[in-house]
Amino acid sequence: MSRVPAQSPHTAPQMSRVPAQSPHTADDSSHCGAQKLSAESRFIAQPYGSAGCELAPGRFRTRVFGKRQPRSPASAPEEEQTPELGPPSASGPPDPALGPIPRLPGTPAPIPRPALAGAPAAQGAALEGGRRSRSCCSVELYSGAFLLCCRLDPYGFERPEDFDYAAYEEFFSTYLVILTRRAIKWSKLLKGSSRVQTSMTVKRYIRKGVPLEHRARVWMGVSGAQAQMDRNPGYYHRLLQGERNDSLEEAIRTDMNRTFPDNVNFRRGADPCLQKTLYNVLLAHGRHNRGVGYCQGMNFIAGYLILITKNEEESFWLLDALVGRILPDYYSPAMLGLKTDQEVLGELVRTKLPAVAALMDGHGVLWTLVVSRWFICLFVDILPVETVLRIWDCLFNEGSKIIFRVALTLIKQHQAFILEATSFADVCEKFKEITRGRFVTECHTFMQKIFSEPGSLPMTTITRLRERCRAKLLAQG
Amino acid sequence: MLVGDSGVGKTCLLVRFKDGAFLAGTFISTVGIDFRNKVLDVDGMKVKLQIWDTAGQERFRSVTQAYYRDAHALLLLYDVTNKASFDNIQAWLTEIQEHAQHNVVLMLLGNKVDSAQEHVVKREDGEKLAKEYGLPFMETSAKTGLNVDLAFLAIAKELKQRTMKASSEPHFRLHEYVKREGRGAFCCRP
Repeated sequence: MSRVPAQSPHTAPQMSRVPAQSPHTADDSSHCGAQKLSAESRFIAQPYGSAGCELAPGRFRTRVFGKRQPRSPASAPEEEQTPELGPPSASGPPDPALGPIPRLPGTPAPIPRPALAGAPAAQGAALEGGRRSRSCCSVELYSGAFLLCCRLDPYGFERPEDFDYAAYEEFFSTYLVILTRRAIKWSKLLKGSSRVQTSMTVKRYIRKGVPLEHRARVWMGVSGAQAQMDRNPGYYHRLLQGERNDSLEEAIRTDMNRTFPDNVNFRRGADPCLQKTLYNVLLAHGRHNRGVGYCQGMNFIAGYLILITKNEEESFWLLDALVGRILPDYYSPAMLGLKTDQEVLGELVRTKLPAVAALMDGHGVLWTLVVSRWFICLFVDILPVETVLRIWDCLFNEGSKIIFRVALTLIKQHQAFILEATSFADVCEKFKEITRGRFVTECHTFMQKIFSEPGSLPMTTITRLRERCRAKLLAQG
Repeated sequence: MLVGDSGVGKTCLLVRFKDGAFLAGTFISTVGIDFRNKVLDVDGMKVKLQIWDTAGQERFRSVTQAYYRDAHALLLLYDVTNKASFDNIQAWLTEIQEHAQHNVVLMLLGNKVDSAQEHVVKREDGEKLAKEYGLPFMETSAKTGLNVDLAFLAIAKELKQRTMKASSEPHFRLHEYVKREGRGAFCCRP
């Protein structure tokens, strides 16, 4: 079955899909192994290697993509006029401006970031299934490279058993065109400059999505993490060698096997196993920011940072940017910032979507029950991976206001559905359901919606609401 | 509502009860507070349990506290292979006394009794502590299912009795029921 989207004949190899064998039989998740792929495409197929990973015969959580629905012809429009699509001129080795990629301690060889768009090396490459392969992958390698029909997504997460490949592919064939266009534009923007400057152009570009190959660099630049890292050479490694703190170490260790068990790179048997990297990042951060230490939820955030940067030290500085500067005090022991922002969301809903606020009041559902994870985990494990990354693109650049935009969009879009709830339990269930399905999976349209749906949301309003809610919480004790 | 230290197996216990499954290596840390429903048949009557699963880390208590006061029942867990989780039970009880309803149904559970690791908290330790505070107590295993359904059923029976005021049925005694029905860790391994 040909899986090449008609719009971009130059981008994808001929693909065929082999039905997945029963996951119960497989103990090897390196089934996407592609010996003949170039280094950059091999990263995508086998991001960190994955020897002997146990595969659970079922899933505790699911990232479900909703059933196929007719596609709206107007989905994912792009505002900009772009030149006719041709083979991307910027394909080939990574931009030299990116500089050498630092190595993860304990990693045998540096893992190159995927090359920019095109991945010509993969074209026509014979994709050989790994030993006792569970499923062969039809691969679409393109800017950000997605394995459409693979049991693993490009980041190493297992797709749920009921993942709707056909619907995802339908979405992706459209998204691929956008990714292509964005990749070309980004490569032009970044050409010749070693630093990502913040500007209106960059802001506009970021809202339209940062290509995977530039994501780490852009996040590092716009968040100030790069500047901090440059100012403090060796600091991260000194933290790792710092004074022991048993309770901190124990708290982090408790979560090691409970962070992304559905990602092959985070399983205990993976080689190299990202658990150690994760442990180091969290430990260093706990020693660096003693007021916060370690808070559950940071494990998922650091996990994503590691998957994107593939670099321990950068992950640490990005985590520091989030916890120390971008987010209010969500993670400190009193969690006052978290409680404040939950109330702020409640207030915003009261103003913008009063019927939903009335429903919550009527059933006595506190916001903390339905949205605390949204704030603490920054949508990790709540929304689809690709959507979370697009949200984070804006979060690093524009700050914590983005979280309200996402939350309000989710609620507004599903207002009628939420209002069908007739009980406390119903309300809770509806709030889980609105984070699944086509609306959130189609990340590009979703990101356009977050800037239009909630309407005006000036920072002055947020600041004022934060002050008021914080004072109220403090008065309550 | 399920409470207890981080990593004692609250979510595993709930999933075992809800879905009858234990999938090692598929659980993620609970962040904040989570909610699940289960309908139980208690002596021919349907009882709907709304179960709140909470994050064990201390700082989340301020987030979950708001729900203590509405809880009708609390399952307080420790891990029999983790002494610290047992030592913290006293602190949890203080927390519960402070924020929960005074007549909340409370049960102490020593989880992970299937574990091959050393049981640093002996059954007698749990029994002694439970007796001291007047709590029903059982050892459980989310992995094998030992006493899991029983714990929730006992709670449901107790709550049903409290709701049905003028009951003609014999009075349900939670302590005796748990003592009588609860099984030891070694008598019922497959």
